[in-house]
Amino acid sequence: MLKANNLALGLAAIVVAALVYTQTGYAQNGAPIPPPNGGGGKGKGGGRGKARPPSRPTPHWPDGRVNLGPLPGEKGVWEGNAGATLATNINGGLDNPAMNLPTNLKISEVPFQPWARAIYDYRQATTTKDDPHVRCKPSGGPRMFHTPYGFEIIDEPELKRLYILGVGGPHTWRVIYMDGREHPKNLEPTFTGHQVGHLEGDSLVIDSVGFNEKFWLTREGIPSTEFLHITERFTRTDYDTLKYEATIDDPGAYTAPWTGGWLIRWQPNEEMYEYVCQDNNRDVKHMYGGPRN
Amino acid sequence: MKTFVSGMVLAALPLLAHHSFSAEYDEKKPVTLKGTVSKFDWSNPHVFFYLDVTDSSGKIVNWALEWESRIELKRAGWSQDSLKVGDTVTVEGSLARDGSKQAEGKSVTLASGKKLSSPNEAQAPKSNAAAKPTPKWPDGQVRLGIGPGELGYWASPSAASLVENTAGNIRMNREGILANIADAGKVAPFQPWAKGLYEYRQRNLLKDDPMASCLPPGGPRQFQVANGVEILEQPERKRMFVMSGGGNRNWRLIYMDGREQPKLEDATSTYFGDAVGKWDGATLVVNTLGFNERFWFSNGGLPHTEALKLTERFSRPDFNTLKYEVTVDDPGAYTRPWTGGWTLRWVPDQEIEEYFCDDYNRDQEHAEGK
Repeated sequence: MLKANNLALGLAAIVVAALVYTQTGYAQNGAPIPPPNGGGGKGKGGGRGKARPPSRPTPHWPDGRVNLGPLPGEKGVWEGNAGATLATNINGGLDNPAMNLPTNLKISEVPFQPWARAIYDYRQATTTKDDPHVRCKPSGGPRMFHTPYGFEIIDEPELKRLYILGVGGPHTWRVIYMDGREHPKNLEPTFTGHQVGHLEGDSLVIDSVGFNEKFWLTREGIPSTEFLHITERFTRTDYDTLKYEATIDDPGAYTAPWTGGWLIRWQPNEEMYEYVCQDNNRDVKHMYGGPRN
Repeated sequence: MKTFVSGMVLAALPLLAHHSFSAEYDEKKPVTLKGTVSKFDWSNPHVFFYLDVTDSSGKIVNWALEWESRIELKRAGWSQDSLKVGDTVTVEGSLARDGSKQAEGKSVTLASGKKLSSPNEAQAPKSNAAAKPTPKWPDGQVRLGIGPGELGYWASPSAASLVENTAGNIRMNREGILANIADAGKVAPFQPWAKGLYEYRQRNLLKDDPMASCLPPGGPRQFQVANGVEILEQPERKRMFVMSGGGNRNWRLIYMDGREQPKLEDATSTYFGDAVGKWDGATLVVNTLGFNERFWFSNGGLPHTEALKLTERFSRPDFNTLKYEVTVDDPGAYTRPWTGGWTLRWVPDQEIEEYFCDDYNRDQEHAEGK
């Protein structure tokens, strides 16, 4: 019985994932570019309903520092977890509850200010057609981590910096300062903000401010303002799992800070490849869901 | 009527899009304007300020002055506090081709006598007398990126365009537009069709440049982009990354793990290609193939085909200098392999700030002429 339920859930997840994929697929890449060497986020890893072999423990560097990539001599990429989101909205049809954290709020419990809830509802009602991401805009905050094709975290302790490289979207990078500096005053708003981080045990904690309002926090349209302050916590709970939690502190759009997140899976033996959103962004019709010629 | 409307919209666009300066402004029409700053727009993709100028009839005319991107101006000593509304300044520039009250700024002299220049006009530091020696990793390998506690990136290529290194001095502007189109044949050993296409792009003042549509700068062009470039070394994974400050802050991956490169016919055609590198003494040698044909691999619009193979050589003769040399082997577009290159300068104590071409590519519908 349990098995059947899991199967049903798995199938449902695949259907939802397919729907999500199709929606984005039309918008930014009508014909998905096959990744080299058969890699890529989709289809590998046995599908969402299928059991994986038990994970190895969290990897560490010889000095005990958590390793957020593969062990030496191995390869791997963190999966862009399309479908998972910060706050559960099953009816919204853009949700993969299997990967959401059990502690996630329901969308009705998110402390939206009325205008922010209204804009979220509008984005839902219009099937997220205005998502800046599908027009190849960069994705700040959580949006980057449920973008298909995945990402890597490149930790350079010697430089006291950490880089996050995204494969999908505009194929871009973020730099996180790990040298204990504070956020500068009078930051000019940007897509990725000013990011400082540190390690706490097996968690990478990133504190970011200085965001513009030109991106959506999540693919289904959770809004934010220039008051946004995000605390992201990436915890490598075992070799195959990165637990992603984001605390959204934005008095411009919410009445209180709130937290949500999802699990990000390790895709072993895969490598990042080239995907350029702009490449297929030549024809406006496609960005509005029209058929590809 | 529809055509007329589209024309109007397109005419307004250059202010938004990241365009070629050469297409907008005529270097052969210099202008000197003295007036009062009415607005200072310290913004990307290009900084603007506006000047109230009293003309010979006593009428006040407002001029728009366009400059490079913020990161370039910062490199030349500008800041967002360089100008204030009400400042009286004198500007040297080039007039807009369309006859509007607009010019490309070359330099501005403030009331105090201080002169700020466009980074293209500013003189490079005369000597590297203070230059530290080439930095190295503990194992003695040359370091191409930042070291511990450092901040900086590579910018300001010493050449405007890739040109065969035996060509001698070919006059061109900073976007790689030849002063004399008859020099086209000296630039590289073009096949006839490629020479024709190069000349066409030159005559069009590079208006079809894919980078202006925010497509990535592949090949040598990564090391020509105005916003500069970072090299991120990841020795523990035997990889290197080239992090571009232009385009959409794209990254390119170079494998240093000794893997075999795919055969050309098996490679996926991409903007950055399939790159493998290895150190040859103090020189990093990177072989790349598997390019698509949807980008221009150099300023100036030199064509290439999917047959393109590049061999790039990077060395750092001193702390402040990155020497870049590239051999172009493209039997689809050139009659033989050829080599060119330039040097880049270290920009100390600065970071490549966030810049996304696509952020300024706001109005796709209009860009498509809809």
